[in-house]
Amino acid sequence: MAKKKIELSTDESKVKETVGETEKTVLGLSEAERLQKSGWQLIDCHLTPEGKKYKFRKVN
Amino acid sequence: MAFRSEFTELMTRNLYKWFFEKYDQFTPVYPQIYQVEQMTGAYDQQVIGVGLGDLTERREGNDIVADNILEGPTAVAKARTFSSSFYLTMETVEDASSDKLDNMLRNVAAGWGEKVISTKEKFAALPFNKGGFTSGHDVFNNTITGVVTDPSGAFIYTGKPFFALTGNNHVASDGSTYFNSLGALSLSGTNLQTAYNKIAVDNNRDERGAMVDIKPDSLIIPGGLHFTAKTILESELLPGGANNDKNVIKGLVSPIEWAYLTDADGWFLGARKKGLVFYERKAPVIDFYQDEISKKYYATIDTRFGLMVNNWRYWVAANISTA
Repeated sequence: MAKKKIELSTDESKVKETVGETEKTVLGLSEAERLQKSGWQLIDCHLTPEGKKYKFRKVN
Repeated sequence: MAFRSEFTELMTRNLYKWFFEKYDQFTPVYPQIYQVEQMTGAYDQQVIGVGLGDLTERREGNDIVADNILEGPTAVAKARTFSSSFYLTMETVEDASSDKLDNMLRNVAAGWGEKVISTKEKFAALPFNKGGFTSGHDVFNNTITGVVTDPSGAFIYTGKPFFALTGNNHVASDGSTYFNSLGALSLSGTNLQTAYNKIAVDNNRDERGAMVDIKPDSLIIPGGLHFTAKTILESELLPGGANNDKNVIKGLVSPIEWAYLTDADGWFLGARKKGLVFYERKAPVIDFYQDEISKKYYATIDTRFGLMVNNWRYWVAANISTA
């Protein structure tokens, strides 16, 4: 089945999320830390002009 | 009458004098973090985790059980050459007053004094700045074409980044897997405890999976985390709490601020002079000579050093870049 991708805006103005079934990308350490502590696994982190961008994978 | 050879010799001597005056004024950080050793050849290599397991209890009359000697992967460090030079035209040298020439060269030599230190500092910081890169980095690649091949290429001896995330684990010789990059964790008291336990409780195993005593003693931070580190490590009571709880990590480790860390909010916990070796191969050599064709006077500086990660278990990183 093809992955369904939707764009979400969150309460935190600095945070942008791309939500798929298995991956999420967020901007900013506080949101990244929240995701990691809720069980997502960090697979990529790099500095962008907007700040550090974190990519996570869902762990089953 | 002064001969040209005397002039270039005198200049070389002066450059050394001025260089070392400045060189001594800077205290580098890398000797606090790395074990510093002298290298005598083009490279050094170490086989990691050679050894035997624990002794086994032998019942009366029974034979001694033979153990297998385990040979782990090989870590390589090569001596890298770092150089700089400048030139003065013959006319500049002939027309400048000796005072002016002295001042000019004094400034250059003093500048080299600073630059040799900062070059070493930048180089020594690379395993921290690039250690999380999932594609590796040249600082870990110690291959010298035709001389020695680094089997792990742009990674450390495990074939993984120095700071490996969970899911991209280091694999020990016994097949056990470990990670030492904690991902997205800000510097806080709770997260520092997580990092401490990662080293002292989870990763304190040798290549055979046997328990070893590893305790971190240093928190390596960029300048931006100076006050956060001081608050966490120096407060009597738990920072941010309303219950006057004792700060159990007060003085747990010593902070080392390193200006050459490029990740503004990345931090590292580890044991000083453990798992990291900085090799001094050649002290700075300064030369001053005249080119016979262009008649220009050249000053050159040349130095050689290298580094090796020979045990990742002493270090963890948090919130570092992977690319």
